[in-house]
Amino acid sequence: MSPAMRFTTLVTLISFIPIGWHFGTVFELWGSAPETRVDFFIRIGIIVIGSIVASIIGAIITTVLTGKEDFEPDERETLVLRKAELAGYYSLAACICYLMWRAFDPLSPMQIANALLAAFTWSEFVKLVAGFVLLRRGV
Amino acid sequence: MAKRPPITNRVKELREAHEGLSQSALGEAIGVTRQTVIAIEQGRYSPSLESAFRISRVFGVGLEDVFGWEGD
Repeated sequence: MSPAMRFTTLVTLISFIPIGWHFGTVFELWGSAPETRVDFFIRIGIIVIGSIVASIIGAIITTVLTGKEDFEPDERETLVLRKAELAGYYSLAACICYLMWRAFDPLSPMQIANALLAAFTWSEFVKLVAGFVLLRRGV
Repeated sequence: MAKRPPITNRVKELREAHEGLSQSALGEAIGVTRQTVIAIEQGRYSPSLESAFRISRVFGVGLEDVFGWEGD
């Protein structure tokens, strides 16, 4: 795994911590869910802005450490990224199927919106982990 | 574990015989990262035809002197 890719993976993994915490509160696994629309958007806003800031910091660190301004994957990394993306799409499809299965359950609009967000986040997480595994294991 | 491709190679052997050419230098010469060179040497990745030709050109040998089919 190239240093650039390692940093990208690390930064993305770190950004999953607050996102995971948020979904945990919404689905009542821990903490308390945002009670008003304003609370919800403030929280999501903080997470999104935090992720963007983390990505920028990660890109700066990568540039400083590797001396390369942009991350250009070589042929193997491109193949790995494509396969990882495919794994992400499959997991998103699985999540959508699951949500359709639960379509008639009494869920609040808040939970439905968050379930959709969680599905997209989960597919990104799967993509990341699949990419990491394929890079280590070989394609 | 992923199934290893049935392609064998002598990249490591040729690299060491080629004045101890480093993995980074070989990677730079053929346009891939050091990690990809390691993966090729360990048989975890089969390079594209273009990279295979580039590798054989670096060592000044034919393609079949670098790569082979398992069992041949």
